[in-house]
Amino acid sequence: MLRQGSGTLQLVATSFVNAEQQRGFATLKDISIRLKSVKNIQKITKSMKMVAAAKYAKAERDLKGARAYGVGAKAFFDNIDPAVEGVTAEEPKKQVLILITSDRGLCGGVHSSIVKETKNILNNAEGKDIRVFAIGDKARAGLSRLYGQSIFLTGNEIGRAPPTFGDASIAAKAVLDAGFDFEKGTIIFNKFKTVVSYETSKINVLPLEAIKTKEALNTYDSVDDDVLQSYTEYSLAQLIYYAMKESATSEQSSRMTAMDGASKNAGEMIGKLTLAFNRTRQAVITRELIEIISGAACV
Amino acid sequence: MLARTVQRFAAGVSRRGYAAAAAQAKNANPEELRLTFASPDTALFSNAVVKQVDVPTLAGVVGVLANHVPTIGVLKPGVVQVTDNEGGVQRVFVSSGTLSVNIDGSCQVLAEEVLKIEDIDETAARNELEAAQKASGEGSEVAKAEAQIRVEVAEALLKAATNQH
Repeated sequence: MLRQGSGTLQLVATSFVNAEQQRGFATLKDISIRLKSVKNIQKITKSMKMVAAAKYAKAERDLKGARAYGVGAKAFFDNIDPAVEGVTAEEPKKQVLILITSDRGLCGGVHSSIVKETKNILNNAEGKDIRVFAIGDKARAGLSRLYGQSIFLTGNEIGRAPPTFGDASIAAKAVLDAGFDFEKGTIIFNKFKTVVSYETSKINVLPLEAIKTKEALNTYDSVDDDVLQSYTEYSLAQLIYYAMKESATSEQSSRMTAMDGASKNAGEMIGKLTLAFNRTRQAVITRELIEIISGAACV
Repeated sequence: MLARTVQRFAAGVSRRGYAAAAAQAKNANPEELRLTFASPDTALFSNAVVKQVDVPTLAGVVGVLANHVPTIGVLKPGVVQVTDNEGGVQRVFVSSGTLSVNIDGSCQVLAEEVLKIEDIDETAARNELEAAQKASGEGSEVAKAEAQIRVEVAEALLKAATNQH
């Protein structure tokens, strides 16, 4: 009997607490805890923004040199395989997609835009054998659930330090040594435009066999197989390097903007919470005063 | 490894690109030689009009003038010599990379490492050569081949430094 009674009492008590939470009536302590945590988060996002800004400045400086390099590396492919307006060439069956992302998140939509683009291509594959080389953990994580079987190579440990030519060489070697005779390769990366904008773009790379079939190659002088092979292998590394640089710069700039937004939002929350905190404190004081006064009046 | 090796010779010398000074020329005039000469981190020439470029490739030194027949090549360690329209000559050491002269008349020299001749530290190059020669005799096949490349680069560096090319 007694137990039953206490049971109902407890039930009433819990429902009361629930009702309180639903009304958003937090105690002083609750508010101060939340306030503190939001302040800490703001500190973190602010310092992340500073770090990203410093890294971005360096990345952008590096990009100037790398861009001339990348555009130069592309020139041969543009010349040998000119894009003709209005004519869509038949897509070869065996393709490789090289995704350039990094291991680190908290940088807006740079990685997901690459993953999105890739999903788009894979969705429209229709009998083609398209394999994915995911550079950076974010690309792998984004694709592994739906297109896990398309991923044939992954690479990580990228994004901590600025990409170097050595990194690109490792990636290029991995593609060439993978034993997959692709007919067309595409590098998907984020091309840096301004601090607040980037564009998800593609660079086409042709393997040795595909270059040999191009008519334009006949106009080139003294091309033997050895030279051509070294050249294509080398230019793959060059193009990957260029794409990595562009992606890294986009990532840092995007992280800067994202963290700036996060700091601003945190600031807004801090303002609101401080107001609520002060109001509640005042209410508590007033209530105590009333209690004391009315108590005194009764005596 | 190679990149690091070459970088060490430029001890204490700050590197500066000429991209800012190079004139931009976007018009595709086939009578001009438009040169892009870059390393992964600096662009020495970015689509700039020059008179002549001499490039050491695996097939021998190639001299490129305007209207050169399209070609591609792979660089070997040596000195790239650029003559601008005023006749001024710049000599730059390259470790490896690619050369392409295209149908549209543009020329790209893309090196893995570049170093101005004045910046080569001769003693460091000599030490490197000795170390590489020592390393080329031992280890696995791959290590031997890598050491062989180091020897080639160091030899070319020394050659470039002492100006007997």
